[in-house]
Amino acid sequence: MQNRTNKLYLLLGSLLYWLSSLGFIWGELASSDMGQFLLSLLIICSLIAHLWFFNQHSKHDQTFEAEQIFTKVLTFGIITFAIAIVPFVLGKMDILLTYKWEVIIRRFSAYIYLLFFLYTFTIYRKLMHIRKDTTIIRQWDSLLVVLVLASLCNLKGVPFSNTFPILLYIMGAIMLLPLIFRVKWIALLKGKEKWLILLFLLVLLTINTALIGLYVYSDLGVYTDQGINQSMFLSNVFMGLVIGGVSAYHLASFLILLFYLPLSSVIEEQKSEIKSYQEISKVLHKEGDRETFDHLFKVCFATTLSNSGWYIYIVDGKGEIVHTNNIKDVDIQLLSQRIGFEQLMQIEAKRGYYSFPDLKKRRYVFTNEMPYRSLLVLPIFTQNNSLKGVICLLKDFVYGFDADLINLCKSYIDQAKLAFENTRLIKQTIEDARYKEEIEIATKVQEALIPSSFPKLEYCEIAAFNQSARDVGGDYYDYSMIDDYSMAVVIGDVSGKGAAAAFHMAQMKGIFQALIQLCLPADNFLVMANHSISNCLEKNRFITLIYLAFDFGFRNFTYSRAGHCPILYYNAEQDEVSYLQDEGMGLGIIRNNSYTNFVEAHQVDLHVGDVIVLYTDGLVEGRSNSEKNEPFGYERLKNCLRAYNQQSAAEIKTKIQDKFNLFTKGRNDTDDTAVLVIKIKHL
Amino acid sequence: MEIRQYFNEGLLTLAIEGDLDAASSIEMDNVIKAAYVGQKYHILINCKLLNYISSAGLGVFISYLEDFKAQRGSFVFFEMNEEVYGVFELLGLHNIFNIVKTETEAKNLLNT
Repeated sequence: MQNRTNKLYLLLGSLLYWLSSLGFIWGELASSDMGQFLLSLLIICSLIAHLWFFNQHSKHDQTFEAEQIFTKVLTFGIITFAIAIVPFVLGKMDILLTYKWEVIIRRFSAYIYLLFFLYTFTIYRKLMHIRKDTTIIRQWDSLLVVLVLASLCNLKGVPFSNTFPILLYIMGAIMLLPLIFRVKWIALLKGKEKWLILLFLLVLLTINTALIGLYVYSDLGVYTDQGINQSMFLSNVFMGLVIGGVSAYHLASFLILLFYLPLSSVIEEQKSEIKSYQEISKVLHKEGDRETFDHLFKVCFATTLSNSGWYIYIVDGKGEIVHTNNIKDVDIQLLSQRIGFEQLMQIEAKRGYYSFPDLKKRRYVFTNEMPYRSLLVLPIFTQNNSLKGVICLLKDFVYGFDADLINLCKSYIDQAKLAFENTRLIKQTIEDARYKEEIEIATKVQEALIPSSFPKLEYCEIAAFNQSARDVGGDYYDYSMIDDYSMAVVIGDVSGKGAAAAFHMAQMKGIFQALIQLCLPADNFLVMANHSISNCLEKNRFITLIYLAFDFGFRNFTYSRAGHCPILYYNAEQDEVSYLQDEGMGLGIIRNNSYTNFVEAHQVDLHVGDVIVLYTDGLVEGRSNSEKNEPFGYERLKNCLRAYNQQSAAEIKTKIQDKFNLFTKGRNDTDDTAVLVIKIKHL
Repeated sequence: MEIRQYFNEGLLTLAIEGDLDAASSIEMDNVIKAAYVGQKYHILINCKLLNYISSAGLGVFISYLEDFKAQRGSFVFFEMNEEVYGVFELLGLHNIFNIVKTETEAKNLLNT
């Protein structure tokens, strides 16, 4: 619909044009002032209608390629030239025609001429508008306004001063100037296209010049004297701007393209490199490490045009020749040996590559032995500097790998490194999730194994708290009434975190429950526990423990410490708080009979009102939330007991817990904290 | 944590800087494993810049204790700060590891 309305403008413009031409043929009208005025009005309307049509036409035109646009313009240009030259040739050949025919022919060629320039002028808008912005659209629109104003200069019978057309020319030139240099399409031209366009532009420039020549010559020469008062082109600002704009654009495009040509190869190379990187990274990021490495080798092999090669892929610190190309394993071994491959990979300063440009000269290979003459070794390190693999490329001639090729390979390797890093990160994420799950299990195990409440006992009160941390560990405490007068208490900590620590804690509970039945002396308990634990604990783990055996009948307790935090003891008789200092080694550190030498048993007399505080390292090592980052420490704990020793076990426990939480402000999330308070109430 | 390695006169010195915790104990383990594989059984450990050692960090040394002993080798720790020494002492480890004040003492200990 739009197209049809638009065509009406062309029809209207054309009609108006020919109507005015008829007026000229009908000489009388053209000779009167009034007639001239009317005829020029028709011309103006015709110009505006044409301008409108072409502007709309170019907007809706579907050609976007510079090549297509120039082909169209060129074809049109040749036809126009052929037609426009007719009146000129006729004049030259002295072929006399009647006045009417002369006018018709001249008018027709002038009309085609008008169409060509308007078409070209407006179609170039498409080129100018490549990667357009609002400024460029505004510039174009204001140029159109100037053109409409310029068409008014054609009005006859109205006395214009000379300044008006000059002013319009200046305005038009200012509007045109930025548009002329809108030649971004040049940068988008590919390969041979540039040469074709350059040729097009050269031909167009020639036609353009010839047409201008015709315009100037035909106006000033043959026809002006013959009573056709003023041709529509004479002092025609409208046409002047259009022709000027088109010519200037041709010239600017031609020159810029010409100067751009020597640079274009560089830019194109970069473009193709970027493209190949993108392609490589696309392939690389989809697959696993092994496949990525395989792909990397193939890419390096192909781009360097190598004759042979192999690569080593390293899994768990062991290298394995995975892939070979045109080379025997025996030759690989021989070569590796001679160049000192092993040593090369162990050099501290990690180099990106090792190039052997002339293998024969350095006596790495001999004539008739192997055809290889140059070697490039590319070690591939991961982000954390561990060797992932090695790519070796061989060529049958010396100096086969120049700096450019090496750099290209290195950039491929960098791409691959990113892929390896990605895989690593994905793995880590999965592991993190697994770890979280593990922690959950560990927390549940811990909750199930540690007594959460204590029954009312005759001789003492027991209270405890256990705060699980984010990285749950293996804190453990338990008690057992052996008979009416004896009770065993144990507190321990398995080194390490997570499900494994919780698992060992469960084992510890089993051992504790079994050994307790034997009524062993405290130090023997630890020796037995060490023996049992040594068989089932990994070498890098150990357990710290304190075992206490209370004998309320004899009013004392014996204890043995296995590397655990010392007992905090309040002696009610002397009203004194102290840590019980002694020697004792952790369980699982020494896994033979000599462990006996490293444990001691101590006996302490009990009094009514005595308080025994057992705790794990999470308590004393809990960090403060202040900037000092100091630990809660032994002294604070001691002060706590000093202040609250007259209160009940449950209250003391709560006080310690409150003080600790206030000190760390809930920041203590790296280690578990367990505290057990025993208060003697009756003996 | 950072571990610097020096090897001269048949003695391997490891200078540990920072915190030796669960995360960094993996690296420590690798270093000691490499020393063992490389038959470097006499190891001096410079603890001057060691701020903190966790049970996992201790576990590394404990786990290699027997292996090195079997090769008549040993670990000698020197310039250990009080806090770290406290951890060793608490666990009774000062009885089984050689902990001395200075590097010279440590070297003398290994040479005799």
